Amino acid sequence: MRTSWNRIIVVATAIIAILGAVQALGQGFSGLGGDAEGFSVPEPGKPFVFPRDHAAHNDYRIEWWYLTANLSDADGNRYGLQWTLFRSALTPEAGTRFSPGQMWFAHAAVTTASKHFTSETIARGGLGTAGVTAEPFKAWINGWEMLGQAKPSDDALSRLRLKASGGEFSYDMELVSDGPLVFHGDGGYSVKSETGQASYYYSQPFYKVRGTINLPDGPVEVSGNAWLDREWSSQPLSADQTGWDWISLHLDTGDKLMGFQLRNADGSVYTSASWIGADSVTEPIPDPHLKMEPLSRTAVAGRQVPTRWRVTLPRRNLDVTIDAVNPKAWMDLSIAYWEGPVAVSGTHSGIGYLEMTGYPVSAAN
Amino acid sequence: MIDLRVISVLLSHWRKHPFQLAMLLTGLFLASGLWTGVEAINTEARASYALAEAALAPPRFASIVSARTRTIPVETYTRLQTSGWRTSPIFEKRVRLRDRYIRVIGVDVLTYPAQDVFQDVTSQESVQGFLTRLIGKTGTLFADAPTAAFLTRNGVAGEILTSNSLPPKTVLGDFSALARLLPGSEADISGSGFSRLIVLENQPRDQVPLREFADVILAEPEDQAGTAELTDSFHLNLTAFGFLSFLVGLFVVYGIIALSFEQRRIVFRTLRLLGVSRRQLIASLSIELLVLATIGGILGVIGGYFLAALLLPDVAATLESLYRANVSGSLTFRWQWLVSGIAITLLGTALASASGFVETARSSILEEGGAYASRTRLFRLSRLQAILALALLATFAVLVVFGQGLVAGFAALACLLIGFALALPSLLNWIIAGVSTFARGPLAEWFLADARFVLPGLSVALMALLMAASANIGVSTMVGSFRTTFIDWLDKRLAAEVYLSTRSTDEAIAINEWLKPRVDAVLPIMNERVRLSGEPGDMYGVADHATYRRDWPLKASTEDAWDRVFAGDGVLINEQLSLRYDLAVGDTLSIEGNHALEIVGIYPDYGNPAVEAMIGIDLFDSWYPDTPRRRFVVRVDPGRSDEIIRGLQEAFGLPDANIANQTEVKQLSQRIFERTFVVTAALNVLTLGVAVFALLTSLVILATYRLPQLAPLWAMGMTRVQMAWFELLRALVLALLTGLIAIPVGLLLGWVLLAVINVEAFGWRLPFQTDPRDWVLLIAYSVLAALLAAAYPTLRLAQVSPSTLLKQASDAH
Repeated sequence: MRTSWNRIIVVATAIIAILGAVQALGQGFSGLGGDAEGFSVPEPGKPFVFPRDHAAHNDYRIEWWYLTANLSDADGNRYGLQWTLFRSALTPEAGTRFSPGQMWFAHAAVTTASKHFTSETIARGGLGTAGVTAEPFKAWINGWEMLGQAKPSDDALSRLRLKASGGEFSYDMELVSDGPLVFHGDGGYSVKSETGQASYYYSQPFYKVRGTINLPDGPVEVSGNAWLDREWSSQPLSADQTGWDWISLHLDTGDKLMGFQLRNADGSVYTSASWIGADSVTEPIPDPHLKMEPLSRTAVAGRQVPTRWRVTLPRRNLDVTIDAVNPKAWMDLSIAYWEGPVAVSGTHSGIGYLEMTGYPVSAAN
Repeated sequence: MIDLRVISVLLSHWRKHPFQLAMLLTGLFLASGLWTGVEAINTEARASYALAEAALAPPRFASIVSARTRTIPVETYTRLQTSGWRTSPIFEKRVRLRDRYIRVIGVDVLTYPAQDVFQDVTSQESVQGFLTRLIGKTGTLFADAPTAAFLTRNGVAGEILTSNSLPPKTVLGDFSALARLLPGSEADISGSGFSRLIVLENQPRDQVPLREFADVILAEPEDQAGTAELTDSFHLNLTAFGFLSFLVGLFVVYGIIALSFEQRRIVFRTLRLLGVSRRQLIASLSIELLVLATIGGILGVIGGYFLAALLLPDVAATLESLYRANVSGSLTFRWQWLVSGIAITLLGTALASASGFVETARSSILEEGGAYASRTRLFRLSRLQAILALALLATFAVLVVFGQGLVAGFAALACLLIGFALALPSLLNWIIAGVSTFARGPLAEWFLADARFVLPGLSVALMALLMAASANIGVSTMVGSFRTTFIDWLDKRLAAEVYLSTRSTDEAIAINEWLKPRVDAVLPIMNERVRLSGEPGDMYGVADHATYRRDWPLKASTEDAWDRVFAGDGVLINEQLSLRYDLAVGDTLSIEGNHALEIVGIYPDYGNPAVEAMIGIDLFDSWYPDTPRRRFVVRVDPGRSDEIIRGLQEAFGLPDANIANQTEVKQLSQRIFERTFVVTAALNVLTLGVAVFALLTSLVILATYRLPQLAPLWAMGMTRVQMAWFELLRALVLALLTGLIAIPVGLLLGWVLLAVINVEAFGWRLPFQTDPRDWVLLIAYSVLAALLAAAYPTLRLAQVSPSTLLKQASDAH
């Protein structure tokens, strides 16, 4: 026996290697530089154009389609639902099929009082697996979709079909809005810090939702309210900002409140809010009128996250406590944060959503 | 307690006999060196496979692959993704760069599951930084260190990072970064599609079932035969070779240890009489051998390292061509084979010294250690040996008849070789005894009787010679059979002058139009991935032409095989398919898609690990109407093939890699072939060298024994030179007899290699062809080996001083 007798077969395979050779080599392609400069920056006073602005703005660095819903079933059990699509640009220029300019990722969640189901998915641009188009309105990523079903005369976002599926859950929702789009800040130009970082930011907070959530225990028919945020920018946070706390509240009076505080490293905060009256008249509320004060924290994912807050807005005589429906609503994903439904009590009652980012591991903050 | 003085006394033996010490260490060196060399090669190769698998798809991941072709269109990928499947697409291509093939792997860095490849970047960069650095035409590529250096040297610009988790000769990067290596890669992937889609963990609960996609199938991790499985037979073969060499080396060790025990009987007895306990003596001897074996083992490991380093580039080339396995051509020192080398040396030494220990443990203080005692022992031993030999040969027969699988094949080979080796002393004894009855004259009778007398002392060396010689004949037979069959097959199979692969269907049409007026024929080669007898394989469609009718080699066929193939009424299958599913001409082949055709012929298909079948092009088109015609064979006057190739390159810019010129391919094959035989010859010399060494050892040792027996002959008037001639002649006769016995053993070995091992390992059977000239050569080698081995002791005998002989003659009485 010799090691070498196998070597003889080399010949046969050398031929096969050559004959079966290497497929075609094509021509050169016009790739794009990874130049990160050259993105557009939000400017105040620029009018929105719809439905075009419902679609992606690839010349801005980041953008999202962010939907949260407060739902309940026939037995009165409360649920939270989240569907979020993020776009992140690698370059302000258009990409090619295999050299994409855009990256897409999405988060979906269903929250019950005791469980919190999450899922994420990710896709590169160019291959048709993710994107947002205006006409017809369609936002999709790997089988999750937000599909416009509005009549041509209505706003494209006024009627939606919403789908997502994770390992343990899936949902299929119909959304119909009974109010107009709402623009935050200065007509949709939303300032995010004292130094002037800003984004374009508008919402559709008037959705009525109906649909089915599939959970490990079986399907549940649910209905409730939903809130869609649209936001894009190239520079959302300034360098010393460590995170934010964001709320969207549906008050029983029919009024709605969107508010956030951006936390600075030195402990100070920058706040901004929009009071949306039941008549849909929107009042922008600049820093520092909204106050958000943590009342108690929950240990989750090694962090101390405030899940009970006192929220006050003196000019609207609002002094409420918001309580997480499920304090453990931690989005344990590649980008981790807390997001879940809340109950509102105090001078006003109602329901809403809370999002908190930037709470470091094992910090009492 | 171990008394150092006892060890010192024992060691004094080696001081007095430095030659024996050198022999012992050399034996250990050879045994462990060859073993380690082979192990080192195996370990290196397996390490490369493991890396390759981890990089391409970690074993736990299933893949979605094309059910019919080799690629999945990008559109299908998009459809799967938007239907809820979460996958990571992979584009794989072998690319020729200068003189070597590089495997280029394009991935989506965002979803690629084996992220450790990118570790250097992910540890430094944010997610955004990672993406902008990896995606785009300047995106980072990853390769192992030699490949990275090779690519940079050959003008591949931009960042190429070294990754330890990539196999050799592989470069990996985002799809967008491949353009640096493959101009036009974007169009390439768009045109051909992805090689496969890795099914990621955490699939969503709602997804469209895969069966609703017509062209794709799920390949579970266990369906995807890994390189390690494919190459198992190759490595088993190497291990068997290493083990054989180890055995031959061990025979030397056995001889020396036996001798050293024998010569030290008096010393042992004296030590015992001085109060050294039996246990102490055994312990001291064990320590002595442990130290010697460790030294020999370490030397062997070092030698094995160099042997492996020498052979590895060739072995790597073989593995690459055979299995497309990328094995590093350079050796990394690994502790595993140092440990395994020393361990097997110690184990071997323990085996080789076992009988010596048993004897020493049994012997009583009062017993006189004499020649008689030792000869009775030898007799007992030889009887035991003969029984063992018969048992092994019987096992061989059983294994050949009933055994299944490669391991059984190799076990049969081991039984055959060791069985005949053990039987050799008895065989030689009978032969000499038989010849003795015809011997006339005292000198002839003495010569033969004396030959039988020295046989036990030489038997170990002769056994080693027999093993080396028969292995030699066996392998030459197989190599010879292969050479004849293969070259003939190559000529017929590569009948066409030029082989083309175009880059798109449009280009294929244009090239076809261009070629038609210039050449004799342009024949399409088309294939589809289908299950044949349930196993994934390839179906080829061929056009009616003399290239097939006249030239295509068939092993078995019906009279009208080609008529029926082109009439769409019969199928040809490759030998692998025929052997694997026991299909013969006249049987029916079941083909995926509810097709069935009668098998009208079987063709040899050397070098192909997969099953394959062939039908006429009309039937092929009706079954697989969507298969693009992109590959062609061109028939043209051989003198004009260069001109046609130049024309194609000028008119279409077709890259070198897409054109194969038959003469070049054949020349390349011949070159690799010849290079193979160089290695074969080197290894033959090596094994025979070990055997010669064993013979030399035995003869030198024998010479020290012989003087008391030769002295009386000298006293009776024989000259020293005459005595020396007789000694030489005896060695030559014994070697000649061993060589003669090696012929049938070797042929049997060759038959097992061709009819059992090859069929199991590769799925083809070569016709048995043997060349008697090889045998003559081998016998000449054996005799030459004996001559070389006997030269030194004979020369010494011729020069031994009369006073020594006188002293020996008187001692003998």
